[in-house]
Amino acid sequence: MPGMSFTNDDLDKCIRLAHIFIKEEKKPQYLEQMQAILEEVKTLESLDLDTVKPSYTAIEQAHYQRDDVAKNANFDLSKNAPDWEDGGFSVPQILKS
Amino acid sequence: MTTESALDLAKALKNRDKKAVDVVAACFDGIDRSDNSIQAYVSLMKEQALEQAAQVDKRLDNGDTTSALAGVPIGLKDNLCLAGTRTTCSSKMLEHFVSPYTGTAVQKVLDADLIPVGKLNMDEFAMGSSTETSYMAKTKNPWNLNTVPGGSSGGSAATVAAGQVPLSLGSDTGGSIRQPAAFCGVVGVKPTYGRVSRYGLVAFASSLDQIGPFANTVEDAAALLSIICGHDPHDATSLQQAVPNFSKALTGDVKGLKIAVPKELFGDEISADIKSVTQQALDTYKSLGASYELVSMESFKAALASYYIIAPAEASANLARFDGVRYTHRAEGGDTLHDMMIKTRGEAFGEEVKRRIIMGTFVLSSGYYDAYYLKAQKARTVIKEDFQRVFNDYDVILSPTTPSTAFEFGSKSNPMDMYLNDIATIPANMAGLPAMSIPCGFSSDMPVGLQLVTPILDESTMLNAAYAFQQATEFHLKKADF
Repeated sequence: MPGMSFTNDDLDKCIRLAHIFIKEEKKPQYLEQMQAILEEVKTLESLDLDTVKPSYTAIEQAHYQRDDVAKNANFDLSKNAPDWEDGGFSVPQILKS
Repeated sequence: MTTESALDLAKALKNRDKKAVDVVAACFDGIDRSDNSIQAYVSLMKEQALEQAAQVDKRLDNGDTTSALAGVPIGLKDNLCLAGTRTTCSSKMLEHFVSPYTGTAVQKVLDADLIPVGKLNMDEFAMGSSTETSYMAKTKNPWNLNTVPGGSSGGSAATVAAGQVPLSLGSDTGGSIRQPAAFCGVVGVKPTYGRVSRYGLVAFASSLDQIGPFANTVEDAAALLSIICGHDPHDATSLQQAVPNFSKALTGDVKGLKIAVPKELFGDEISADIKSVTQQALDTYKSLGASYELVSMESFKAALASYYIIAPAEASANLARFDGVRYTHRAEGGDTLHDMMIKTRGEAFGEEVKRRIIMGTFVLSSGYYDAYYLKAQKARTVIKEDFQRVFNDYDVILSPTTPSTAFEFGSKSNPMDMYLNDIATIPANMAGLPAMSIPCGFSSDMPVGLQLVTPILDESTMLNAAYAFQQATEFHLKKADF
């Protein structure tokens, strides 16, 4: 299994990809814990999986299809919006000025 | 405290020996008295519940309701949406989020004239096995206030164990109903994946999440399960299957029932006292005419590993929506959209949630997908086939629900130690099977749970096996004294 040695670079890359923030002093703890979890993941090696098909769902069934009829749920999205303006979600500027 | 079963309570209400408004008012009195100690609830809905109770009383007066549980109070895990009420998932991220709609399982509960009284504490976004990751409260185990109630549905288990309500709903992704049920000495059922609609359940790991009931007795759990199951067009994974009346399956006859006991869940990982209590349960089944044998299910060794790849992978995708734009919480001071999102997610997610997001992001990232995620999905196939092989020869798979009884707060600070709590419960989630935990004895005055697993859609055999055990024992009658 590649990546068994989860590194500081891996941690920083995942933090960046996931859009989260972790304080620098906490990173060694996260690194150690991730390495311990990935050590447990090695038990997957005990199974012979080369010819096995993956299961993406627990139970296979035909897709249910309903009539294509629009329904107005009348959800008032503004109530949970942190910032709402002119009928839409308001966000900070996207590009740095 | 109420020790009355939900069905007995419903009978008294139907006979008009009791009024729903009085039952609900007494329920809130009980919560007021006990929840300072237990802290099972994140929010209460007293006014709404009393109004609904008055309506239910009218229907009961007029004979307008056929529900087996009309007028019975129920608690809801705080990841279940009920329109107009807060649904926090015990996270700072959703601390002020108000559900804009009602989920299907909750709507079925309302349609059956049960009365939701409040939303129950849980591990943040259902990630945890002790309810300690909650941002909202520190729920205690009513059997020993120094110990955890289990998780992630810790509030749902504790409120029933404390006698605050006779029924509650929780959700189970890797054991989050069965493990707290075992720790708190109550009945907890995870139905077949897809039996209960997930519409209105805040998603953690969508291919594993399933809603189910907590109760004091198997009969109560079966009655509530019959109400919440059924196909729902709002959930693509909802099973297109008829739902039996599970209560009718409870004959108590287990003569000839063949029980398999996986060696992998009866080894050194399980404490000696738990194994001893489980052996006594097997002896009870034998005395009732069932038989048991030890079997080997080697795929279980990889179940924990595959779960801790698949569940975080799905969680990292599901939780991407909480970005400070739509769901109530937004951090101050982000100059750009990107800065704001990072600040929001950084300050509003707890450590366990961040850990799982990092794990999920890692196993799905370029170069690692095949090595981790794909391999875990293949392991899932092997686990399913292993169950199928055993079910060719046996009716029920029996094991301890947990490796130990409830542990003390703060005693499992290492995540792997916490994850190992789920070794017995995770395999059933990976295969989508129905599974439940029932009280089967005590160790040092703390409850021990017995897990029963049956084939896909065969909740009836599982519930009947549980009922037979309950009828032959009195563990379910002993209540926490806190």
